[in-house]
Amino acid sequence: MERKEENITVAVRIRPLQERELASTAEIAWEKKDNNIIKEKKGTREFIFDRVYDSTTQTSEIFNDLALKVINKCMEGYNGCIFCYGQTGSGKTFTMHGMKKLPGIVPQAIESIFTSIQKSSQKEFLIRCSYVEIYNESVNDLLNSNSLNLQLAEDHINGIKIIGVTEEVCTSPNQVQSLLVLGETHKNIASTSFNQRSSRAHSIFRVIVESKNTYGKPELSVASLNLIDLAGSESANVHTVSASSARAREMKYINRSLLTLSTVIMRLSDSKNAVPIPYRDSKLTRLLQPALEGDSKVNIICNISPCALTFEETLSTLKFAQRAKKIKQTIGRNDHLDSKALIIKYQEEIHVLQEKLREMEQRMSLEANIQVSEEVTHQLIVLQEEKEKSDAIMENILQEKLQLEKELERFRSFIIHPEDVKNAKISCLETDDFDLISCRKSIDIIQKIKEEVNKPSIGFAQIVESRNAKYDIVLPKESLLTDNIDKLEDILNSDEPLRRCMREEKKTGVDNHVDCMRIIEEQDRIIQTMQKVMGEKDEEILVLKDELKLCRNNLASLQRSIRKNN
Amino acid sequence: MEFFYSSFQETLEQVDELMGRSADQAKPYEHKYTARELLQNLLNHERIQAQDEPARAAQALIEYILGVNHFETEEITESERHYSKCLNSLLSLPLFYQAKYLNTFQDVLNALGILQCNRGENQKGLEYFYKSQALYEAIKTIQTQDFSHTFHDYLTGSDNFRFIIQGGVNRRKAEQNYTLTLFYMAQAYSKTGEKHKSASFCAETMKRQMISGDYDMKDWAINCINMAEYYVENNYIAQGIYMLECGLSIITGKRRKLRSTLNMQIGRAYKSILELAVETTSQNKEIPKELNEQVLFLPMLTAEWKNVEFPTEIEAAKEMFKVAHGHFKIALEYFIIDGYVTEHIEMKKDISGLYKTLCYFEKSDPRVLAMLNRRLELIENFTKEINKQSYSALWQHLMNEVASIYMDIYEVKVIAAEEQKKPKKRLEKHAAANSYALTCIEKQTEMMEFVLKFDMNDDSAKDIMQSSLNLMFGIARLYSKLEDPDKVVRVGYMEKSYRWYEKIRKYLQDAKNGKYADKISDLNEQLRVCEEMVALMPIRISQVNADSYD
Repeated sequence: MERKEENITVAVRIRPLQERELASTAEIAWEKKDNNIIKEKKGTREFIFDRVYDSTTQTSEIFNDLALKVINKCMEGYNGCIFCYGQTGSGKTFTMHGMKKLPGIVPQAIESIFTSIQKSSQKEFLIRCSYVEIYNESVNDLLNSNSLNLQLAEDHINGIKIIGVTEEVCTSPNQVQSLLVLGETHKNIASTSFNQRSSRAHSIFRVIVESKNTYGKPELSVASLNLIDLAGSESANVHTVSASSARAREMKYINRSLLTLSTVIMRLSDSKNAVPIPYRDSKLTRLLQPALEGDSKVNIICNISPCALTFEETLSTLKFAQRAKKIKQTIGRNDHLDSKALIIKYQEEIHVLQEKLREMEQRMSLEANIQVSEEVTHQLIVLQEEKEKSDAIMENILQEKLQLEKELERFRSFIIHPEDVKNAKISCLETDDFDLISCRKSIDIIQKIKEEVNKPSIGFAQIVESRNAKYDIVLPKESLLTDNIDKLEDILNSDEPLRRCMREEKKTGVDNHVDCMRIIEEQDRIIQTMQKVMGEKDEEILVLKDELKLCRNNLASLQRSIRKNN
Repeated sequence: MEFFYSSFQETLEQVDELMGRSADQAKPYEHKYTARELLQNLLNHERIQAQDEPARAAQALIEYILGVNHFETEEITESERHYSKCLNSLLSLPLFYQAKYLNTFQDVLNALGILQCNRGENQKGLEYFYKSQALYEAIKTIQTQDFSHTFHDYLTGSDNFRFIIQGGVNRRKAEQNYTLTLFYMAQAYSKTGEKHKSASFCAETMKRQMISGDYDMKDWAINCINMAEYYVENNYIAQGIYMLECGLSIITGKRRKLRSTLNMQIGRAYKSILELAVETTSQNKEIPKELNEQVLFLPMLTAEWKNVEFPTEIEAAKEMFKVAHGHFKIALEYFIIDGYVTEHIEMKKDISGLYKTLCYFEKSDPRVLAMLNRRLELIENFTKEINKQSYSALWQHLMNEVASIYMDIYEVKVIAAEEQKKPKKRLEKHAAANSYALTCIEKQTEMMEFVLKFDMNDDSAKDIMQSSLNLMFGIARLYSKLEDPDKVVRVGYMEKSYRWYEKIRKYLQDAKNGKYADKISDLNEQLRVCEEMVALMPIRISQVNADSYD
């Protein structure tokens, strides 16, 4: 095992001001000075890190500066770990996952893993991915929404493991991407007043890269790359619970994992302190223990906001980063792992299958021989029967052979040869997996629309609204009419005082008449519009039902094709 | 005042209900934001904006709840702003009026303290906590009738007393708040590294929790474990065992892991008694007076205080061994190797350690040998089973232990050999013992190779160099000691010893010119010894050779 000593790489990224902050009168409190120093604008405090990025930096630059090194190491068989730390709304998820146009570290990492597989010759690879989140001290599998609260256990070969976590074998970047999308839908993300999308859980995306030389010495190495998006650091609270069970409400804002993480980092950075390190106090630190103890190349990206509004929080993030910088590590390469490594396992399996195939073929020829010998000694009828039987056996064997061949093919397909990777870029074209997801989503939307349409109250409310609107239009016309009547009256008045009483009689009559007509017209209009609206709704429902059926068909055919592909 | 009793009170109750309501995962703070709006509106009400005393008191109450609200929605800076406003409003009131809101004072001081601690500003946090503590002391002295307001008329039996504008002191709430203050102080001190202070505050918290019955079983039991660890470390072993027994006594239901952990710790506490006993008798030290000192008594528990005594001879030691072993046995039933590698192996190591202390009191050699073999049975297999890369530290500890057991066996056998009168028999016995020494050397070599692969840095250099030097010196010395009836074999051992001394010399010389020369203590001294040995060994070899030609 080779070992190299290194410090944890710590970078700080300053995010641009948000609208909320621009609107407030708060000032900018932190600024970048040189490439590796962050300075308090009004004071004298300065922090030195490996790199400091200001708000103009793109994630891709950070990726090339820091993450790429970790990934290259990973391809050589060293473990890697990248995590983002910072207050809620400081840009952790943006840095880690990014957006479609501005991909974060995770998608870029996946691309570069496959690019480097493409480049490396004489090697075979097997990529497995798992995606979990730690929320309220329970580990949930994001790739399987049914497995919640997974347990951690130790195994005497591999150390700490998560029991029952889904590990998907991936052969293309798009497949990994679809896993990410799937995981994203299961995530505990909520919007807070700070942020539209704030994650209150830690999410850990783990890629396990197994590689084997195809020529020369069959050197096998297994490395895991952990990409971690931590929950907001302000949740790293002192235990506000437990003193009183009546205060169970306060339970909610305890995030033991982060609290322990900062304690662990503090203890680790203080090399003279012989106090035991409380890795076991939380699930997060338990999982990160091997990485923090030094079997991984670790990058920490601390996200901060330059705004004075959150000065104290930013300061504590920077202090955390400062401590993390002091941790020294020795990184070892995971070379000789035993045959438990999957790539070997699959190859062994392939080998066994080949053996079986050969056996089958031998047995087939043997069956034929028996038949020949029996031809001599037995009667024709018996022979016929025998022949039928052996035919059946032959048939069975042939089928078995076919099946085995298929299985063999399947296992082979898990192993990625560099030349197979045609395009390491994640295509933006709609792939099957994406279709599946978008289909599911559109079904959801249609379902929602359908529900809304079926809700009677909303329909009526709309009708009442439209009626009111129409009434508003009618109102000025009405006043115009009465004005005209008034004018007419004036004319009549000036003409003949005698006809005054007559006019008065007529006026009330006309008024009554107008009122009645208006009410009738109004009623008619309302009935018409109501009918119209009802008709529209019916049509809409029909169209939506059709659409739904179409989507279901699509989904079914996709699932069929996926099954076939498998 | 009418306003305060009606709509003010009503809104606050509504807010309280909203803040406690559980929300949808996708919109976790939905109700809290609604509550916040209600509070803001209330704050802007003309009656509250008036500058008289009740209005200012009401402002303070609202600001406090706003602070809590912002804290819960993760807007810490805003939260702090509101808390400070609350504190200022309270302080602006005349003293008589302030006294009616002592509970809120406590609340806000605690809240500000936690806020500071969360930012790592433990000292600042502690200042608030000390103020809160002083406040509690003051509340204790207040005569009951002064402030025993009839808040029951408004909220019967509820602790939401602070909503009542009339004010007053709720003693139960004051006690609860003080327990929290102590609890926070214990944590803050543990962060600043002041163990003793942290422990004493923690002890006080636990006692108060026990008296009030306001505690979470799991947390309380875990605190017992932590406290016991602290007590045992500082030789208050009886106290430590008592804490653990208390922890066991409060557990209800299955809770296998918790029970097993407590049992494991009790086993370890008894083990440290035995170890301490060995240490004091072998070095003629005094028995530490803290051993049976009671620092903390926890009322209302079934667990009983037990004084412990140092065993001075084998029978007493065996009794203690049985107690410890029994606890480990219970714990091992849960902590099986599959899934709990570290706990399982650590405990096996602890049991091996128990035998080690027994060996000290045991006079009969065959029994000592049997115990040493038992120790090997317990742990040797693990050195082969576990992955030394994943469990680097654990593996090294185990190897060290195994090597030292082989060494012990060798020494016992050598003593037996030396007792033989006839030289031939003596040498034969030596030869039989040698296999153990060779196994020991084998283990040490394996360990050394593992250690040397670590790369050195400022922190690790000393450990790495020191332990590899120790191992190498141990190997060289052991080779030189081996005797054998066959002179050729013996010379072979001596030559190996010589080669090892040469290796050490080279290692030391390299280190002297290397980057970390200052990390080895008395490097020159060690080098001198080594060079002496390198010069001496050939002479001794030739002596043995000369003997054989006689």
